[in-house]
Amino acid sequence: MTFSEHAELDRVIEAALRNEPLRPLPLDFHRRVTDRVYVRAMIQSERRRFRRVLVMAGVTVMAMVACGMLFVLIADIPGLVRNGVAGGTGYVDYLATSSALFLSGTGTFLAFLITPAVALIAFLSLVHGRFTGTQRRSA
Amino acid sequence: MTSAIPASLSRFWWPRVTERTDVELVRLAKKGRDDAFSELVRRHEHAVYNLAFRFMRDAVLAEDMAQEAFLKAFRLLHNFRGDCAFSTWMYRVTCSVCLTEINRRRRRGEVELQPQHAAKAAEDPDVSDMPELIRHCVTKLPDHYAAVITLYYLRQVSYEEIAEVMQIPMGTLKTWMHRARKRLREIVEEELSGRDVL
Repeated sequence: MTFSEHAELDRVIEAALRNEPLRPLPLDFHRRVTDRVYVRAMIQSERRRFRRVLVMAGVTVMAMVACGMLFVLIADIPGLVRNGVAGGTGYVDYLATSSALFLSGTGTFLAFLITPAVALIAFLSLVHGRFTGTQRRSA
Repeated sequence: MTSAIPASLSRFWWPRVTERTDVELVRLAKKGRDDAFSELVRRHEHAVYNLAFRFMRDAVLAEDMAQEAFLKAFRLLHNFRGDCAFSTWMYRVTCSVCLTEINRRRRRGEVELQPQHAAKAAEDPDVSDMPELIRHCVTKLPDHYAAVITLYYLRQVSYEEIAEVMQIPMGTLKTWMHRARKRLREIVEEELSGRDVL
């Protein structure tokens, strides 16, 4: 191609690209986009809530285990039993007996049942999102 | 509300989303306000759709890509720091989405059943379809050339804004524009030669 032919082609290309009209938007485009964005927002929200619940459940379980271990360490129950400390077995017996006596009372037994039940209800409510403010909003 | 608050202050206390700037709307959208992002979509949907169409050269694909661009923008909204205009950032996201799709189709060897310009020529062979052929050739350019050419010929996009969208200096942009035009001319010549042979 010669220089003038190149120049002519350049002019044609320039005209074709510059004169392309703007296209009208498809009908309902805005509604379709916002609907998809809403779904994506709900997915993100649910993922965040799930992660939060998992973390809280994990922290709760670890705290319970830590408290149990702390009690065993403070009371040094294994040491008492292992070293045959005078009165050690008696102390363990004392703990078992006192626990049994504690649970034998109706009031205390109910308290022992109700406390974890309340904790379970609170946990289930947490899973359903009532405390974390991430319930589904009505459309 | 207007009875409790003086009219001169009501705008200050509770401006509607339509009265807020793009940066304020982004800030509200990050906090979870659906109406804020909806207003951003309303303001920029026309430009995004037309930019997507100029890449994809198909109305249905352009609509898909425009929707994907807004979804990607929503997902990456936390990355928008306000150091450029929201429209500039949207152009960048749209270019990225469209070029990714074009490359994906190219890798998979997907071809249109009948390109639009060929469809028009088939309907009325006497009508010259040169402009549509040229516009279709833009999609065959390398990604960065296609992006700068498309943005340049999209109305109301200045050289400075294109440089900001592509995150390149002005000098580099001018070089790319020159090379893009040259490469586009070569592609158009090849297309025309191919048609003449056929």
